[in-house]
Amino acid sequence: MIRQLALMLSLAALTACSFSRGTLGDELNPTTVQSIQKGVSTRADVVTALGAPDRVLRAEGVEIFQYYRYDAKVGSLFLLLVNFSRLQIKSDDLYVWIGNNGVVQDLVYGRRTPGMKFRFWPFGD
Amino acid sequence: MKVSSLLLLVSMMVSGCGFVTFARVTVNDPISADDVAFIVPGETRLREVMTRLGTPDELMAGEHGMVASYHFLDLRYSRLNASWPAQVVWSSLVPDLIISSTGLGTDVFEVFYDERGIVRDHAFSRHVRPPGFNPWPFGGGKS
Repeated sequence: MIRQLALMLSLAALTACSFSRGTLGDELNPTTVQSIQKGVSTRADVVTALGAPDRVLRAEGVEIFQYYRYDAKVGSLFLLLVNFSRLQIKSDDLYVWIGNNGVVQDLVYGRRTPGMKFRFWPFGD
Repeated sequence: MKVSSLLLLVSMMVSGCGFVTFARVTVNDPISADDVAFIVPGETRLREVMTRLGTPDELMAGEHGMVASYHFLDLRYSRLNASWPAQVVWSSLVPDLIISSTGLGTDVFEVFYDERGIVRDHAFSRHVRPPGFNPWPFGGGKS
């Protein structure tokens, strides 16, 4: 009886929950990124593998291609008295340095999104 | 039993509005002063900074080298519908009385590099901390 009452109260208190997600840009395949080799791959190889960059920067005689992807996750919990909601946004960024000779000098790939989980609790970190 | 069933029914009819709402929006993880303590101007290189802090959100060409920017944001929203308890009894006859407030914390960590990719300087540009969750919008006005 008590268990049934507790279950009934829990269901009555939980009126709705929602999970939503939004992304901007294509996900960069790590294997494709690894196929780009410093001192070997050319500008054309990079564009063929990854497509046109989202942003191009010219500095100190080199070109820097930036590729980015944004990931947003929203979790919401609607109770009778209290509603909780949390939206998290993070990005993955790839930078490719291309020298005057058109060959890749360096590349750095930073991924923030893989560990991002749906959360509704807004407090704490 | 009838009264409790009726109360439950009424409560379910007004569900979704809620008495109190807490919401938060975060962009990237905050970077603290401790996180950047390893950076030594004149010594630390771009590669090491990116390895420790991750890739920046933006790279710009400065006059004496590149500038890397790390953006992060923390927005906290709280809302209270003061007439919600009355709505439970009288349902839609009682209008909403909503008070809410939003606190925005934002910061940008910028790293300035020289032509060789060595850190020249670094700084937090805004350092605005978000206030706690508090739906009361009146009073204060502190900047």
